[in-house]
Amino acid sequence: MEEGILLTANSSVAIALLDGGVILFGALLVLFGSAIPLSFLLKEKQNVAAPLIGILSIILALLIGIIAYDFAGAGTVYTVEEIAKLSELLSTHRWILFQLPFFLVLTSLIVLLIYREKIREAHAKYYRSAIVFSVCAAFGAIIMIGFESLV
Amino acid sequence: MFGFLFKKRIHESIALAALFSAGLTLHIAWITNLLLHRDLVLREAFTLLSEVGPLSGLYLLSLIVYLVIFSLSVYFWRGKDVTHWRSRVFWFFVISVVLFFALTMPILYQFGIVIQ
Repeated sequence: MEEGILLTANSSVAIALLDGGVILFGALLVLFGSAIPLSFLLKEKQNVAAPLIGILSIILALLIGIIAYDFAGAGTVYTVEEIAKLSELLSTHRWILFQLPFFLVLTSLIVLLIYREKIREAHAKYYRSAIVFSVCAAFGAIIMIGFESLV
Repeated sequence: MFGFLFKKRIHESIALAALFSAGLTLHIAWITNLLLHRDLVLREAFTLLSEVGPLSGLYLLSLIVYLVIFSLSVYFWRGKDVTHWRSRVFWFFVISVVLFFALTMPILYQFGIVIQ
């Protein structure tokens, strides 16, 4: 049977959507796509803090969801001998690295909840920078985890 | 309802405590990961879920450390002028994230010298 994206019986989209983990991870990437520009606009534009708080809350919930999903289905067996060692190594690294986005998003959320629209004030320069840095670093870690999952 | 009773102010100590606790937690996480890799007894002690392995204990430890340090730092900085702490804590946080990225790489934490 031919494989395709939408108009085939063996749709790769349908196959991907069968996996809950893929949906959570995809949603995470989409939300980071909106969180990054919003974090850069914190100083320039008004009323950016509230939507960013909402997006970061959902990202945090998704990260907790992914951890719970992985904990529930843990114990993967690597069957291909050549890549088993590397896969196991990268899998462990993924798990360690996954703490980073969790703590960074949580920290950004706490800072934003404290400052809200006052994050635009001059004295909050370091907190603004911390939010931008955290969101970008968390996204970098997520991308890295995604790439490591391919091995 | 009783908003008029309270002065609107920014609780900067909480924001500062969040940055500081995140930085310190990341340091403790990479050091624990390094120790787990080297010590079998510790690895067994951290294995709370057999399916997940020692990482389950590491996750729990990181969460507890974050909460404890956050509470202690909020208590320490509460009601104080923290102006001179801002840049220090910010750079500590940035360096902690960079170090965590680097020192959790398998090629680095698996590094060892064998003496024959």
